[in-house]
Amino acid sequence: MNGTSTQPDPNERAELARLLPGPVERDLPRDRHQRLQEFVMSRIHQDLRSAEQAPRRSPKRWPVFLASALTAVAVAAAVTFVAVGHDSGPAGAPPAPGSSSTPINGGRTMSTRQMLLAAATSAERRPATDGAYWRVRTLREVRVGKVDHKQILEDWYGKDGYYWQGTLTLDGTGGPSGPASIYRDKKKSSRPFELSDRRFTLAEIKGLPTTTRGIVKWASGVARHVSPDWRQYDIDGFTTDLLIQLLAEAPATPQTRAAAFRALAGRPFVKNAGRAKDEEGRTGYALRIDGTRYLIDPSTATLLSESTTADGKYGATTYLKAGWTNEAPNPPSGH
Amino acid sequence: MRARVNAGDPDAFRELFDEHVRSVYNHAFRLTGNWSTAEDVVSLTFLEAWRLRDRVDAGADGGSLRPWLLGIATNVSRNVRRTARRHDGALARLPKQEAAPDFADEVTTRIDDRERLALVRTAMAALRKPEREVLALCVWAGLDYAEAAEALGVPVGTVRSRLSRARRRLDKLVTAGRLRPPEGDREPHAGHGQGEGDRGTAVRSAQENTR
Repeated sequence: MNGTSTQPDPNERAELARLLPGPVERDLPRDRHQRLQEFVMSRIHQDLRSAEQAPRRSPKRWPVFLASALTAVAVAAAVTFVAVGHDSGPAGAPPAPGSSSTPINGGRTMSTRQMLLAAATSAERRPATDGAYWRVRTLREVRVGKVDHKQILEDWYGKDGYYWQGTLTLDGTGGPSGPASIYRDKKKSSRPFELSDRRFTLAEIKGLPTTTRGIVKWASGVARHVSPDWRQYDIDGFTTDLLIQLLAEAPATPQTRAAAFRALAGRPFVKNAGRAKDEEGRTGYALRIDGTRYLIDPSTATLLSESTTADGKYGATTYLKAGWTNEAPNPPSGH
Repeated sequence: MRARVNAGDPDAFRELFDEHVRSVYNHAFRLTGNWSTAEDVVSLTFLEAWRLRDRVDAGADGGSLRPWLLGIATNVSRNVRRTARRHDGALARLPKQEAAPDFADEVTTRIDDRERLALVRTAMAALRKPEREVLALCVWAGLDYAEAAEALGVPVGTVRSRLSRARRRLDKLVTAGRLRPPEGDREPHAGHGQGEGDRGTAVRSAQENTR
């Protein structure tokens, strides 16, 4: 109940218990229990044997595809993007504000790296902007079977330190299913900007490095402080995520954004996933990083969307707008 | 147990598996929404536990290793393939389940299980990953804030704020009619005279500890 207790606030927990369906619980089937246990134990004994033979094993790692449903979406990476020129203008789809629909390098093939470097060049050319609030408008969609849940979310990060979030739930036709709402965080925070669950001040974001090496160093530095148990794989993954979140949601300078795009071009596990359209029908170049697909429009240097599909469940965040505004926070309108 | 785990006693790991596999398996399912993936997470969690065994504080006075294991399971669930790579692709050699039976086809006779499963998925899918993780740890696995913070390697304040954000998001889902508070649905699990405030947790913890 009080601010320093490490016990969950009973009200908060009661409220969560009220909101949530009861947990789905089951035992691992007996044969699977045995099989997994034997598997783990055999690996442990194997590890012990090899430790006896060679106390300083060199780590040997190679990539593997799991046969599980989660990874069934992974496909062998194509070597190049094939940009189909006349596919670039989705009918009736509103382009991102300020976007041009000119396809970069239209009609020819572009590698992931080329695409990201093109995005970096576009980013550098965009003017720095300013305002009282940094507003990020996203469309969040979750589809589970036939249940489709869509919400417009608007984050308003005020220079005054207050954070607002507006919500509008959409019905099956894309229209509002109820009134839009907005709330303001009760507490004023000097670190209002949240990226990958880390908080930053505006000055920190504006002062981020503007070189490729610098921005990677910054992101991996943040990653190293998330958990003492993380090894390089975890740190690498978080670093990439943070660079992407920076591009999606942060009021970074054009130079920092350019650096982040260039940095992405050199990150591990980034795979080409061809061209695709987002929920708004905007066409972009897709990257796949461990099961998540990111769609980028290099001509506007924007991250259009990120999406995952697993086990019949589809989740997508479409970045509709991100920029400074002098408007006062207000509940989000529909399309 | 802690000392034996720390010392790398294989039998201790066998016992650890027997004792906590149910917790890890269900926690993994809540994070990944997939029973087959949850099995992968189980294997990798115990392999990771073996790899990280020297980080177990042998001197700590008998505290359960469950928060530690659930923390590892959470990290593994974040990226199953990345962890699998670390273990030399061992998982690829593990025979897969023939066909993952759907929950509703299982031994259970509860009519509302399928519906509840869909609700859980809807709720979890609407949350961001960090919120999902603290929710699964604090509400369903019954860890307290400090244990969840330790499991995730984040400050307690972060656990608190994520939980609070999760509540706001779920509240909105309910308000929007996308998630029904499962009133009657909860009774068979919770109707044992628990106080309103903590019944969910108490019952769940009891379930978690039974295998």
